Amino acid sequence: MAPTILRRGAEWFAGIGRPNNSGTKVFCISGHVNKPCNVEEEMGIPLRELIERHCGGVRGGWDNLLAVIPGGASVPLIPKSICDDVLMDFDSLKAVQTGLGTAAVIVMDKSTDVIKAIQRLAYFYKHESCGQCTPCREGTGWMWRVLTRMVKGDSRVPEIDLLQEVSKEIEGHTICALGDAAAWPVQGLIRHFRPEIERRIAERNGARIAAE
Amino acid sequence: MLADRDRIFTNLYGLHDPGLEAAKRRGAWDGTKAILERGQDAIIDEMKKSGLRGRGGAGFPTGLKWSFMPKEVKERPHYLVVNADESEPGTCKDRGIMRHDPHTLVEGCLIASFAMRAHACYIYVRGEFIREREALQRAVDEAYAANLIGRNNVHGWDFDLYVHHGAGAYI
Repeated sequence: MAPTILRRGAEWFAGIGRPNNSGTKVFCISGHVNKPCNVEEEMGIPLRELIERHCGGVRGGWDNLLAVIPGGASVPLIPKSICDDVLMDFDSLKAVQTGLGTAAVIVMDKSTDVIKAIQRLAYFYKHESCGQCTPCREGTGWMWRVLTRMVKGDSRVPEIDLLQEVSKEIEGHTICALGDAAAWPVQGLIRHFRPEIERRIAERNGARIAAE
Repeated sequence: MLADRDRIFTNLYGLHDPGLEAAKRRGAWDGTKAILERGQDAIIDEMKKSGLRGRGGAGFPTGLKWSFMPKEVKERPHYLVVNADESEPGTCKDRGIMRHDPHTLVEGCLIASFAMRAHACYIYVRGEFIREREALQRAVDEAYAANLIGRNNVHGWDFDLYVHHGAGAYI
């Protein structure tokens, strides 16, 4: 990027995108889109335009969208209601409590088990934690175990708050950013899909009562 | 939508040759010496004005980051270390660059090193990226052979570039 900026001038680069979010960015769109791709685009392109213009749209149409992770596995996901008009740049995504991260857009349609998806990410971070800092070493494994139970609804409603609290204890209390990266997807899940977690807990409890 | 003339990575998909001659035809290494002749402060000022922010995740302003390096090299030398690990799940932006447009990275390393008064640069490549490492090393070798980098190179700034690979981990 630097050589091209110095050849073509700062004004050219600053003229692309919005102020403080200038230039071009290589976006990597994967998941439930018709044509996953890597594409260099202007910063601040609307997420919907990015997906529909370059990736042939969401599998089954835009209305089949469930959620998007906009910046690689470590940032919180955003549900469809936010995806409808969010812009893909640093400040716009920060305003909706997520981040541009590496601009790896992971698209999930309505066939996705969103709790299972985040549980799988939690497993990844548990596996990759180096173990130097206690909050991360203990916390990533703990979050994974709790989420594994939540996938089946084997939990209690207050445990959702406990999970949120523990994720906040991991975030910002580690030397490197892996602790943050492990905590954010879990926080995003609770922020936007809490009713789904509660529904599963109620469903399982109902099934258990019925069996007795 | 971004116009084709404003693209920085014009061989992201590998439709063209990644080699030095082809990269030069796409604009790489064009007037690099003139850029370095502007001097460190002018380069950093220009980077600040462009508003470029780090593309790796945190989005830290690049020009500001470069300006943190001491203006005088004291008893300890300066180094540039490039993180090309790219292990974030879902991400493969750097991979295409290393495979198909590696000279943009090699040239960027030279300019960034010059701006922060470093004579050596290490690129840490993800352990799983075997072909990417080979492609990048090929580009580095080509640049050495053409005397674009190395000791007494045509740009007048002694510069050594090393490609180092990891063993496979998330960093």
